[in-house]
Amino acid sequence: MITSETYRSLGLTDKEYQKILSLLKREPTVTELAMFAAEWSEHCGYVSSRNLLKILPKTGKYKTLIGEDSGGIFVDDIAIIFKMESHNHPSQVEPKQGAATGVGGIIRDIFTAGARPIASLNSLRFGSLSEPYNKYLLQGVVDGIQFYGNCLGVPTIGGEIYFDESYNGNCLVNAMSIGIAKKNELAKACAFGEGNSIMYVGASTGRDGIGGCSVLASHEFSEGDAKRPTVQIGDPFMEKCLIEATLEILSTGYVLGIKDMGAAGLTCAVSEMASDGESGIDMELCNIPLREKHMEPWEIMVSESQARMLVCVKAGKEKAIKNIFSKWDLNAVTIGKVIKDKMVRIWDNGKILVEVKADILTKAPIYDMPYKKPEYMKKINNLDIDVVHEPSDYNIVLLNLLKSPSIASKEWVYEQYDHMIQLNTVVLPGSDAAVIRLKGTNKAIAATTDCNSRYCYLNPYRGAQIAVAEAARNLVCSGAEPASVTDCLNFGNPKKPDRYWQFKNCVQGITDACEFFDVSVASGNVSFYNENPAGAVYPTPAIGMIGIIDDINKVCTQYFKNEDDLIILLGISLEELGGSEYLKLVHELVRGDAPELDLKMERAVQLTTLEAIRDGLVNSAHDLSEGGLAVGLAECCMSNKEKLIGAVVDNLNFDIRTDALLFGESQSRIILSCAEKSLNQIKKIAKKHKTSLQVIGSTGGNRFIVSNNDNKLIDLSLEKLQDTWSNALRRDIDSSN
Amino acid sequence: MLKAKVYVNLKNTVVDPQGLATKNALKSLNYEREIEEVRVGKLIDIRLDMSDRKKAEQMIDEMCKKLLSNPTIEDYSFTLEEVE
Repeated sequence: MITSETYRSLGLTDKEYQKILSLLKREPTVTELAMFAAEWSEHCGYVSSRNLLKILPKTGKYKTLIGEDSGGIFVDDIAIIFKMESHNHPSQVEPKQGAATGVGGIIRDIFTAGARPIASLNSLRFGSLSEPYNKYLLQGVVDGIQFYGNCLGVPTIGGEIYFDESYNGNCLVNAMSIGIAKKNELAKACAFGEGNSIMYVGASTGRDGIGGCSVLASHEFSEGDAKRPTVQIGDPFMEKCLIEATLEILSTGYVLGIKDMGAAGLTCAVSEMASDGESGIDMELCNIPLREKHMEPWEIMVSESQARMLVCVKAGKEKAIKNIFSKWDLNAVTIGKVIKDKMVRIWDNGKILVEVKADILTKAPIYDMPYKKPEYMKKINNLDIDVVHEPSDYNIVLLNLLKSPSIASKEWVYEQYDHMIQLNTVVLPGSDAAVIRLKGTNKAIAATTDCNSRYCYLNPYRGAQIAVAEAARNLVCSGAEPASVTDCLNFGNPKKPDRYWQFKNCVQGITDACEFFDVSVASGNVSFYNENPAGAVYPTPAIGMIGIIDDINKVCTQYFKNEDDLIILLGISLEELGGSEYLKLVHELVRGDAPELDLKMERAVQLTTLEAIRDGLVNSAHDLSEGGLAVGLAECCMSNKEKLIGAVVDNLNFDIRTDALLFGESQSRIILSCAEKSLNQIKKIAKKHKTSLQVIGSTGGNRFIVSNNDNKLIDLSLEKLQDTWSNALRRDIDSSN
Repeated sequence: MLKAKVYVNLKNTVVDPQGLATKNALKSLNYEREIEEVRVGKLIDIRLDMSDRKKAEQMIDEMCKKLLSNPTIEDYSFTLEEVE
């Protein structure tokens, strides 16, 4: 007998329960109810977001594949599969295991598509480091990522980390994975062909994360402790075996479909494989390998134990599959078969427990959520720049910005990651985008993640566009053609209209920007309910973007290479301070509008840079972002630890406010350095694309000097800059509270 | 003086990769039949310069909750004994 308390405690509403009754024309069994609750939760069913996600572009300049659990693009006969996914809530309660299983989960999505994982990135957000718990989170999350990635043998090549009070009590951990496969090796996530076998492979099932997906991810966070038992433990060594075993069985040709048991575990795998294959599955629970005694059938169905997969195997070939898994010390048991009628039928020791049409489970309701422009925007969108006093000493401001943890070097983080394993990493972490060799070709993949969530807070639509534009700009600076996007959308409670308004506008912003640049959104993930008692986190649509470098010898990095090179600024610096790190740090203001973004100008700057890099004219390229021109130039001087190169920037001649010139965050700007003899050719390219180009100074010496109209604004030694920037994060973490 | 022995183990419901690896290694050394399960935990010795057992128990319990164990995934237990 199902009571309203039962289904409500599983997260189903009265209306949803009524719908289940009318679909089944009877009362569901407890197991069925748990399956509906899991499958119709926000986390699995995307009930509040699917309506909007439809608008994201599915095509772009590279042929795009939208798969069931991941997506990718084709470059010649190679498929590059990639996806980014959130693991925010588990990481907030148990940072190390939360982050580790996040990495493990996304990597499984990649190799179950038939691709070998070749690189990981991650986009992280934490609250202010002045709070001890946030330090614990940062250390735990980084530890989890390094532990899992390093043990597994997949390099962690890049990412981003920002710190802001809005993430107090709700950190964001978004993990991205990239894999490659030959076109004909790709696997599908469906089950079909009457009589074919359904096999369970990988680790045993325990009570890990029971209800984790619906309970953890579909409700706001108030107190972490009570919900603690739903975090899982990662085992990278088993996952490594699982990768090898999976790729091996896929090469046999006996596998028709394969799916990772992620959120909602077996429930999701069975119902979605059946419904995507337009068939049914009949299976017996008593054959499932269990790790714990006395598990209830519904617990088995929704358990989120790690490293398990469901495989549809050609009838008669089960033994071959089992042998491969045994070789890797992994379970593989036949638990059922494909049937013609489109039902999910589950037996427990010969007793029928579940008999539901597959697609009524997978067709979760879609909700049109109400939305309303948030009140706060009226209050903070106006910024009277005249009340912002210009500081008297720009050296101090620059040093303070370089010290702020969002801008400071992330060396402390990435030196813990193995970014070299597999020996394909061409550009290591610490430049605008990481670059990995596409083995067996002369090409390379560049990858980056980006999102300035303060911009998205001030102006969700434009902030999301900027995230896309900046990701593309980062790729271009490495010499890559932007190719495709995976988005990980982190927002607050979708039932609150102001949060949903942010979501809606960000999705629209991503859509419009991607369409403009002709890049597809191949995969993605939505994480709602990122709230703490003080409110929602800043809207954070993290953009993971990959780009293609056609000639691996034409890769570019961000730091200056030679003395006496010219320094070129592409793009236009406006008098704008809204949303800048400078305004926040120095004036303690989060106000104004996000920076202007003219997509046509953005494209012109990017095309100029890309063409100049491809023609071999440019020695370095770096995009300007947080901290503006001064921080960007300083990074060019010092991000190659082995060889610091100074700069004298004495030809600015701008008539905007000095603080806006130095620290304003105008978009669509890139710093290039080149030999003097290349200047004319670069000028020609810029003219062709109608890009504003200005030679602002030259490299050399051991100081970083900026002057405007003969007025010396910044004059600092490289040692001082480097020490401040590269050790700031370590110092913040080491300082005791 | 009191000495506390604090035992920290993964919760029973949590998968223990280290225990599993140890179990498999032992099995490969021909303890195939005898071994049912291996769980790996840690033992922490703490010497306390105090004699009030009740207070010591309270204090160790606090230490376990705050630092020695990770209550998300681990259980703890401890014993106290008089030492020289």
